Amino acid sequence: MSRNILVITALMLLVLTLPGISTAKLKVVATLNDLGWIAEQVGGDDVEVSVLCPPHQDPHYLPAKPSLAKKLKKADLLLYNGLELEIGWLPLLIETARNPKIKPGSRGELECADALEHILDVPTGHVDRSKGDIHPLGNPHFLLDPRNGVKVALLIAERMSELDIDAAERYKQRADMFQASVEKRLPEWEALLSASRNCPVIVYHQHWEYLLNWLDIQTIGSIEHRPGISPSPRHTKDIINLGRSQKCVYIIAATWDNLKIAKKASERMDAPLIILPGATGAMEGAEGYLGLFDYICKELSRGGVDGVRNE
Amino acid sequence: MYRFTFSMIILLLLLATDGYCASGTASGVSNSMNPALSINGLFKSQYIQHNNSADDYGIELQEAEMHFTSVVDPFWKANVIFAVHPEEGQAEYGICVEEASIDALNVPAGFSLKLGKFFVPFGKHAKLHTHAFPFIKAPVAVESFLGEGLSETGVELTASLPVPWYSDLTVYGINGNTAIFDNENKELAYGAHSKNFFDITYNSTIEIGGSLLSGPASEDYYGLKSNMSIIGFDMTYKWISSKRSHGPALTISSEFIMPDFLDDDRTPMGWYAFTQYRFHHNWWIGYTSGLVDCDSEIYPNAISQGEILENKMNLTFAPSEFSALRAEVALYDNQASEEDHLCFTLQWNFTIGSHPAHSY
Repeated sequence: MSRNILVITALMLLVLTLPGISTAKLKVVATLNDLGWIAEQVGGDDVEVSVLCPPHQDPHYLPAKPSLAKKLKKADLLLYNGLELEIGWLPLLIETARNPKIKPGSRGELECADALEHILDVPTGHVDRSKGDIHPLGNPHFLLDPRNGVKVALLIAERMSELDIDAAERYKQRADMFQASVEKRLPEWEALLSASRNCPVIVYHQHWEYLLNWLDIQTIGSIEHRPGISPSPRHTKDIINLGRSQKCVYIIAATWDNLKIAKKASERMDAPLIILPGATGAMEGAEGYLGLFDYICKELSRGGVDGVRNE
Repeated sequence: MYRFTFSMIILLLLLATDGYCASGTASGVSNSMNPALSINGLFKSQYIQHNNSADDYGIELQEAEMHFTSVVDPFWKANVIFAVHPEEGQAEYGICVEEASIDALNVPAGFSLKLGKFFVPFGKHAKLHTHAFPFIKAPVAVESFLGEGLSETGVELTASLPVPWYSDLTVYGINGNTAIFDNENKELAYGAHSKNFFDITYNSTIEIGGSLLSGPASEDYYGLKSNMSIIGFDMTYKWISSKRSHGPALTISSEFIMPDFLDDDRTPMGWYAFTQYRFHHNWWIGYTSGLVDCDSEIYPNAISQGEILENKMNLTFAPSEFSALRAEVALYDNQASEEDHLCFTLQWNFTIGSHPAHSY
């Protein structure tokens, strides 16, 4: 009898410990879909990844829903873009989550901008909000240069290895594989847009600076004069005149931008409007980080050379 | 020799001073540990038409709120908010401490602990600071029973409940000598607040809350019982389009507040409901209706007495996240005294500095 009780108790304890065994994976929460995708490539089967900001949402303005804080409650590692891209909602979510593993300064939080050696558009001189809702630390949209994606992957692998030392070698191997797959595609993407080199383009928001800088495409202005502020009719008129005089080849906007104004500028400037996915998975055909650049480069090459609109 | 020694001393002093300045700011004092600081300013211009007395009008600083927040040390984070506002019926301004609290940084098991003076978590509206109100004034139901923000001194403990949705339970103990309880009594008041969030779709959520606050009753009320409680229920539906930055957004919110009294026929109660809709990038429209029914013989501490019905409508233009201009028309109808008044208000709201994000 007592032996039976012992066996049953042992079995019950085993069952109770099973969820612990099955959830031994490193729980990673990424703020952006691009980071989530990279984390999945680096982490493979050793991690469980969830994402806070869906790809179709402008990451500047994610509503800080408590259900997102719930995702953070059990996170072992929080990956965020940084350069204050998530300043409007991430601190609040971290506070609401009350998870000491990911509190600022802990090993469980990683600002992926730390991987960068060179940050674009760092404001010089006096900085205040008369310039709009600017990012005082520089342009945060660095993941739109695939070379930066590689740097971020290597940094993520390093941090994952610190937190889960048993899988360290696998994280490194996967990050190296990711690097190789991106580097293999780079010449292909660059060749696709070689005809657009030094072409003048206008953007809606300064979301595309890293992408255009990588592809040697010249930004001559932005429809959104000051970040986060609706363009005034006067500025819209000025930018249309600038586009006409500089022979702008196309206008680039993200799916979440004010497309009504972008379309109006495009018609008046007689330059095609190219609506691009601002993040991995934001448009059909832009799935995966590599797929994002396949889509963007294809659309830009069509728009730049043939003048095809993708509206 | 004397001159040489003197020159060397002066030279060494200059070198030391230079080194000292280079390591700090121009004043020689580091500012890297200063708290994040922000100020919210609210100005209003108002015209009030009364049905049985002379009209009022004026322009005033409604409130200026200074917010300081910083980590204190590895164990605590502090939050201090001062508010400057005109004194009732005077040309002078008064300053009050709205919040001065510390939050423990290392509480285990997902708990949070707050100590100090803070806005008591009762319902949805009572926790809001004036600049975050959806309408220019607080609903009469909230104002009558809880005042314009129930800021009290005490301790608050919050825990997340292990349920499939997001659920927080907060319990707290505060000084009982508040405006809504007995000013003279030294006993403590206690309360609890449950907050539950459900995602209906990715873009829409519903929040359901319940609140209870219990403390010593005022002397006028001793005839009935020595303790009194206030209960509240709140529900908020939100829908925010995720496809466009600053796209359409809708909020529908309602709250019911009822002090717990023995006399069923004369139980005071209040409620409000409002809706807000962002119909264009920078433009919001809102409407609210509310009622408070409060008999002075039953509940002498209430700020508004009688049966008051309020209806308000506003239009807000917010050119950025840091400023807004609001036009509002409000009709207050006191059905017991047959007094009513109509308010036309223009309010300008600005924020400077590093202001923390508001909760969802």
